Amino acid sequence: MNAASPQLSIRDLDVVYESRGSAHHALKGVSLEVRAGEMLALVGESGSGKSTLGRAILGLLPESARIQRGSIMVGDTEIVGLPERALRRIRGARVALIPQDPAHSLDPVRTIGAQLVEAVHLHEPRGNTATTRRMLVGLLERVGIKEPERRLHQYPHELSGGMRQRVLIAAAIAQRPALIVADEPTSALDVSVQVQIMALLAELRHEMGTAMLFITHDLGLASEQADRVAVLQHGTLCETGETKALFANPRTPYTRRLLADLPLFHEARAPRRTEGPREDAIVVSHLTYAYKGAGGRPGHKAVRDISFNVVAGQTHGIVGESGSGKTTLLRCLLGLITPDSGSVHILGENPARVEGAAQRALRRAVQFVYQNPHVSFDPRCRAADILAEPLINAGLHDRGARTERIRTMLERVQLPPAVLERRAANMSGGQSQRLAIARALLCDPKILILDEVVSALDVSVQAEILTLLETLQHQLNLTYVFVSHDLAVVRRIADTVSIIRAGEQVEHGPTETVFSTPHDDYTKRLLAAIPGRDLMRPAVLA
Amino acid sequence: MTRYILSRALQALLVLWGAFTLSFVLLQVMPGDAVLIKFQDPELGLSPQQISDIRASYGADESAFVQYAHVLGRTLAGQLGYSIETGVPVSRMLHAAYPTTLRLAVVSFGGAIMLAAGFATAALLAPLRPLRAALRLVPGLASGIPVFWLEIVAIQLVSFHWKLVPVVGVSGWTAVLLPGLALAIPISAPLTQVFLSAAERVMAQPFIDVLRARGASPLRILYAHVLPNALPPTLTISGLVFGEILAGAVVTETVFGLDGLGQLAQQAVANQDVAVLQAIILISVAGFVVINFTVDALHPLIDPRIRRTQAGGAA
Amino acid sequence: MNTALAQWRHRHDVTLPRLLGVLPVLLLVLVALCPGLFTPLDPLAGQTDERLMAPSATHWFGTDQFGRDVFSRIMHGSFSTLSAAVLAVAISLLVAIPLGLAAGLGGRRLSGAILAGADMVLAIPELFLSLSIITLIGPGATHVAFAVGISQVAGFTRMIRTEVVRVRATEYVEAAFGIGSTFWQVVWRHVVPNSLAPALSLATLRLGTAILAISTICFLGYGPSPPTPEWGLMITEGRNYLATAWWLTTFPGLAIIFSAWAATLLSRAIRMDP
Repeated sequence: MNAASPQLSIRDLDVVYESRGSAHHALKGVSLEVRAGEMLALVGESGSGKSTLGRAILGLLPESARIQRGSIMVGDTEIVGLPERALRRIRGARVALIPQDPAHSLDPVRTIGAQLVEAVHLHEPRGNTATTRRMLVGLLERVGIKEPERRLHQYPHELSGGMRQRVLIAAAIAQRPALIVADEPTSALDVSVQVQIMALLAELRHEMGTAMLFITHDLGLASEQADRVAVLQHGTLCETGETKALFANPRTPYTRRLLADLPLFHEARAPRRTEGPREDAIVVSHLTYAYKGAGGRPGHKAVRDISFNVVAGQTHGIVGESGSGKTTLLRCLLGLITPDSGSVHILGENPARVEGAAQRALRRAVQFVYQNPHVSFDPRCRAADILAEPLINAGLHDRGARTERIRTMLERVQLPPAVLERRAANMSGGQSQRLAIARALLCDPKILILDEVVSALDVSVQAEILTLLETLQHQLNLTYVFVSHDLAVVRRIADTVSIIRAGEQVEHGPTETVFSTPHDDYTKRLLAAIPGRDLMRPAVLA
Repeated sequence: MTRYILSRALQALLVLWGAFTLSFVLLQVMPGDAVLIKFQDPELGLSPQQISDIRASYGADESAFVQYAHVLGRTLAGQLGYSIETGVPVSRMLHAAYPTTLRLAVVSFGGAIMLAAGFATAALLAPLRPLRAALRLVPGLASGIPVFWLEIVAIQLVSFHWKLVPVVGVSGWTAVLLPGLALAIPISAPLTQVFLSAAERVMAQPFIDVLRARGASPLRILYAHVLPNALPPTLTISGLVFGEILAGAVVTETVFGLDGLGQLAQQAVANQDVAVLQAIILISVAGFVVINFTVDALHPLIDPRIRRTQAGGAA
Repeated sequence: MNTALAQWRHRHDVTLPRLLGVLPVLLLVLVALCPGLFTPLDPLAGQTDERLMAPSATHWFGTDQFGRDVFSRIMHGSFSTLSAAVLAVAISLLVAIPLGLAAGLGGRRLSGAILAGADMVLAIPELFLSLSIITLIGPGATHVAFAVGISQVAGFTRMIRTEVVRVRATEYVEAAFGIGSTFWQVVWRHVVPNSLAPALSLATLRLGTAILAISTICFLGYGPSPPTPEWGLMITEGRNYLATAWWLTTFPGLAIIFSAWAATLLSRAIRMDP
């Protein structure tokens, strides 16, 4: 097969989900091709059908889904209508999957070696285990795993997330498949690991000439990695093109809107004027905390000697990868745990010392908004009950007055009054995040602690929420502590920033200073790892 | 690791002691006087003096606490006391009765395991979703069938109507075949339910999809991956299953007229023979405790993640 | 009016399968309260010339050794079993809810003590426990209900405690503290409703278990004494005619199964989570 011939060719694919008589068209007339050695990035927001497409190629659609028409050719084999037994011979051998979540994509009770041997022997039934293991040692080395013999005897939980993803990549390339479907392969990993994994995938692709379908929500990452990009919206392919051309000159309104909403790293926020006296809302000095006892391993999740202040009415960003101690830091700010040494002062008070009514007053003044708003609402409560609760706590027992305040607040966070009758489970991600913000604001807070509040949202919703937060800050003179792993978002919203690594604050200061002239190596590496760092807003949108 | 085993063993002993105390309080202190109830009967024609002698010989005169200390002491020494009904040492009665019950337990447990395994495989691998959903309901419905009724119907159909297995004048393994298999149905229901829900949790995990994407067959995924992951939660109810079998033996041995521990227990309740009843309860608790301890001790061998947490916890 | 009904239906998620799930229990309640509606025949008075008659148009489920109508006995016997089961579950909930809440909300020591106690009781099979209680308080319909109820307490307590602990660890409880609610406000508004709802659904399921336990004990002969119509007891009495009159044991058993399944259906119907 010559290099120019398509390894994957999809024609007019329609996929329908059927449940209880109602049908949902997940994919409508999708056609695309991926050639050998090429990476096509399939970009779309949640619900666009991008994962459905990935599953359809592997012949792994759920039972409720039906391919209504169209064809999926892998090499010269038609996948649509192929019997299960024949599909099993193709899966893993000619099409391989690199999954999204390495933490849960390996069997927890079997060793890495056993799982890799199984992966190989599924397609080489008469394979010799000893020979296979020798081959696997080489393979693991190839995907960048040190001490491969030892790793074969280990269990998945003994490996880091990045290493598990390398193991999964090794399993995927073991049969030298012609096509690899990589479904958000780095979205569960930290940015610094993401860079390494993407680099490995690029290397392997060039070395083996594998075609790769890269499914992602991250336009920045797609712009950096892919040869071509396909944009999927509500099951329809709205634009396909060479990466450079597509990003420079998006043709459809949807792609333009996606690019307009994308937070771009090199777009700094306009410097804000600070008038009047500068008052510190939060002062953290030499904060140290270590988890003790049997549960937490010593040193893990601990924070050491962290100091920063947040000026009232400004936003302080906290940037750190998983396990860096961000959560511990936030728990200290909320007074849920008492620091071992150093101090935290919030609005002049020590949150770990206040008790009773004063504690509740301080708690109301410092409100917390969660990453995943759905789980922060009582599943039995309607939005109306959720919003009434802080008001009742504040002693507002008059129903009419409550309704009035709730109505004004809904307008403020731009939610329609109709949501009051709904439960959070029936709301979209953006709506429930607005509801969470509304509940927090009904406590009349001075400070909002925003923990990865836009990380789970699509870029367009993300942009709306960020704008809303900025407007609210301006109107209500709120102070924000904004925790995020996304440096582009932090640069857009934060006035000052702390970079945390393994419990230590490696750098802090005004956002612009830290991002334009980083001193610490780790900060520099983080900045270099930002996906789509060099992406420029296309001229048409400027 | 050693610390984990030791703490589990201590916990097991505590449960055993607690259950012993509870059964003592229920059976021997509060009615106080099984002896009195029994021998007061005017038809026996015993004089008050004789009755009080008998009471003394059973230790029924002493205060509750002294009795408790006495019973606990002799039980620890392996003495289970004497039957109030027959005067025979309880241990001798148990010795005569246990083989039948053991055979019954073996047949019903083996049958239950096979039934549960076969059924779970069918319910997980059946081709259509509505069919799987329907099969999923069956264990719940099966546990709604009373054992004694099931066994009576089994006698009527299998033994009287089809004349497949005789139930009269049989002994040994033949005697427990039909009762064991009938008892296996209600015993297998909770096993199947717990295993199925554990298996469904496992099958919802991403690694199952990854295995399918590598070309593994459903049967292979079930036996090589779902089974080892879903086994530990299923094993945690083995102690309970043991208790269920003994309780089931009470009914089963009554229906089939077998002389086992269940029959003994049933007669002990009828005759208020508290020493015998307490001994049987102790056996069932001891079995429960030993099985649970074994499962706890084996758990780290099945699940490597537990090994690490315990190593970390003990350090 | 119509829209108000629709709204109520929507809020409580009333669907056809749910309504259908409630029907068998409603039927049972009706039978238990007014058995006369379903049969004109006396459950106690027998016709000597109609002994051991097979099921027919006049006697749907046949007659027993005294010539009594089995259908009528089953209808009239339903009250005994069903009321005992409801009483048993009510007793166990009455004791287990406070214990379970205390174990879930209380400090380490209180919760440890309650759990250790529950574990000790759980080590004894429920049938042995209720038979021991019967030995203590003697046989009879109410006593059986009490014995079965008490023997289920430990299991319920553990179940409720597990739910309470689960709810307490959720982010929405943390969030409720965050917006200034006091401990008892959080307990009352969030912990109690969210932990008791699944517990109550399971309690309904236990209604079926209680029906089985009660009829088992009555079958063993510690329930009401003859000639009271009681399903378990009817099966005991019918055992003497195993080879000749299958209907004496079959139909009471089917009544027990129907009731146990009705309880299962009800618990599925009232289960709150989707």
